[in-house]
Amino acid sequence: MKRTLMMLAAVSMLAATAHAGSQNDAGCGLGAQLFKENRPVDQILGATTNGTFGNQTFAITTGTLGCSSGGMIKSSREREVFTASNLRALEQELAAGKGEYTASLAALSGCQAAPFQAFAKAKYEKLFPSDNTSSSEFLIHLDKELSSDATMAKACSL
Amino acid sequence: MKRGADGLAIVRPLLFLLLVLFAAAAPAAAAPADDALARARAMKLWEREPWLKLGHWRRSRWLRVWESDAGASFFLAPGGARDPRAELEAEVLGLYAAQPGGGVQHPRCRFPARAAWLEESLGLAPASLPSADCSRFEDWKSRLDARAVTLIFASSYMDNPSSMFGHTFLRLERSAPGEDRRLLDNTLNYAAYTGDDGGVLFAVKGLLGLYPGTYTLMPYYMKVTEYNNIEDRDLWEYRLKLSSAEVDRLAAHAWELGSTEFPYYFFSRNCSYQLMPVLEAAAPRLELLHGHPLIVAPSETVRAVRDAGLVASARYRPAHGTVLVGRRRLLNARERRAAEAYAAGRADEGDLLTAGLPSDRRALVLDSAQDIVLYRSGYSPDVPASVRAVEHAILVRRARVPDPPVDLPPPDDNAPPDEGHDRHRIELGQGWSRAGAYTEFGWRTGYHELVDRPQGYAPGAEFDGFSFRLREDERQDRVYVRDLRFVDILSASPWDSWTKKPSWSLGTGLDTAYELGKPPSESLVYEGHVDTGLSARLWPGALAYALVGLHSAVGAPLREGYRAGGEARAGVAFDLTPSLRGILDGGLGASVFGDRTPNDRLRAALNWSWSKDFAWRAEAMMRGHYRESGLYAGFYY
Repeated sequence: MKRTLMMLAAVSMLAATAHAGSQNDAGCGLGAQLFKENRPVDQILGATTNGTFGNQTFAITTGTLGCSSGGMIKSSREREVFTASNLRALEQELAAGKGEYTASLAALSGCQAAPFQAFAKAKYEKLFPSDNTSSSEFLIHLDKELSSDATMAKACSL
Repeated sequence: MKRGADGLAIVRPLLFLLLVLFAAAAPAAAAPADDALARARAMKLWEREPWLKLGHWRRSRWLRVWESDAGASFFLAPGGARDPRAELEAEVLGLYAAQPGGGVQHPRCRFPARAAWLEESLGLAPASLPSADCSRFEDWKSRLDARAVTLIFASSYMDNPSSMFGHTFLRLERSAPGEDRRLLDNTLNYAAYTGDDGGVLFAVKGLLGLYPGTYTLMPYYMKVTEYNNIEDRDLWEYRLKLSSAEVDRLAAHAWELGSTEFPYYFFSRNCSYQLMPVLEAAAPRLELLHGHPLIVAPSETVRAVRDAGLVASARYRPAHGTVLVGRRRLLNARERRAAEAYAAGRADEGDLLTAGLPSDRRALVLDSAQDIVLYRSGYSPDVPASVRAVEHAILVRRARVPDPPVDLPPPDDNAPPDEGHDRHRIELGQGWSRAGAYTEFGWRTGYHELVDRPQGYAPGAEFDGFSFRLREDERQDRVYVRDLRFVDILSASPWDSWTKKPSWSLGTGLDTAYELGKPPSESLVYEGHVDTGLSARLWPGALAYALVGLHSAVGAPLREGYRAGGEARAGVAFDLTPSLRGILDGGLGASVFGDRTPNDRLRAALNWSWSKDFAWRAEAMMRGHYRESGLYAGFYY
């Protein structure tokens, strides 16, 4: 299990390097897009019309596009996309030690929710060492902490 | 919008032709196909409900022919949209087709729900059919992992009554254990692709159905972010009672919908309407559209599903703003100051104010502080470094406090949308004025006025789409238009120093200008107004508002034919009992251009909801020197 976590850390590291150039690219840019599309004007129009994103990422097509396939995020990128899209909701819950976002991240990390939440709360300052920690940096720190902790290595199974 | 499927649409008739040729040229393989086709014809399978529902065919209202509004890529047979029989025959032959090359899907894989129903109805064992490579569909289906279906209703924004329309979509629940992992589920949405069109073009195209609508899949967390966190709308989740076979069929049908385009009509075939055929295709036993010819608003979808006995349980997911206001109510004045100080980046001041507090109170203050930061700066990961610095200081402190966040009780003024009254209203009334008695008939398309039964609607929100009132003046024996309104909106959001939401109102349409002192039947003007101001929650169930703004009107009854000026308006709406609601609303209107007759008015009304569908209302109004009072019966449907 420990090895799997180490591998996970290595993969995240690679992914992070690949995206080092632009913060916007983290999580396939889906997080950034989600927020960009919701300007106040769009909100008011969208309220009655339910207009949608102008791309094919979520179409139930047969092909594979970037990090999605058949309208779903590829499982290999799911954790990264989830973290990048929900970084600020996650931060709040990680510090508080409870909630759905942290439970979901625990599931995506192969961990049980309760021990994961307690662990992440205790390690909060190591997970977010500075006030500009990006989502990919956070994941690197998380995997490093998880893999170097014997108890967590047991609580998490991939 | 061009999609990959368009290429497929060209291939499809060719494929069909090949199938027919293949069936004719290969007698050995043709025998079982012909046999199946003959039995399908003998059984007239195309007339069966499940088949008609899988193809979204409905009898057209005038010509009584079958038609489906789905795009060509949804059918195997050319012209299948208007011919359930041709489509069925093509699909039966398709079952026996050889595996096509070039990445084209076998008909059994492209339309797995139709194929499965045909195989079952014709009693065909899968082993008796030629092999088909459905790995793409099987892989997609296993990743989708749908085990249960929940209908999600996004209620209105607190400060945008036009969203009273709401939005609905389906959540396809994965098998993962535990309610706390629902964020990772997938959702099935129907939405229009409107591109960058704006303004009038947008409205006209939307009404004419010129935008393509498609079904999309999206992770639930993205929808939660969109509605709960960005648009600040509460979500209601209705778990549906569907069998596992029906859930499977829904997943297979979602695959069939693929990237098929449907014309999206804003006010008829919209997100709400188009979910119904999908549920019916999954569970042909359902007749969701049949008894509800006017399903247009998402809250009506919820009611249709509830009336069909489909709802197993309902769950409420508060918007971020709802949580923020809920937490704020738990704080005392000093704690509020502390939360504000932290949120403003003055962590030292926050520490001073919270010094000596028990740890659970400190947790509440810090959670509230971060709520304020998120409310003001949004949830985007790309916020300025200064915002991240402020929240880092809050969250590092929060991580050191062991207590979990408090569970908030659901707000007292929020009932599930399906418990609200229906949106159409017919009103009959009898009234008296100095000019004599009158009888009144009124009708509105929707949705809700402040005086209506409040359950299920956002408090303080009023949205009237189209309505009119006709009156018969008994003394003059004349029928006249009391008013004909195109839109009237009031948004009274209680002012809160944390959320800082202003209140506003606007409206336009024909109105009788009683204040002019002329006979009411000769006082019709076209008017418009827009106001802004503040509201306050006086006590649970009571709301007061005060607004100032501009008004203008044109019409022959006005001196010089028009008027324009300023106005002030204030009112209070309160619940005396859950079924008895009162409002008091007054205004002062002064014109600086055109007809300068002041328009001072006061209206008092008491509404008694006998049931969800019926109410009595007593109302008195003064306007200039005009006085009237009346008694009205309202039917909601």
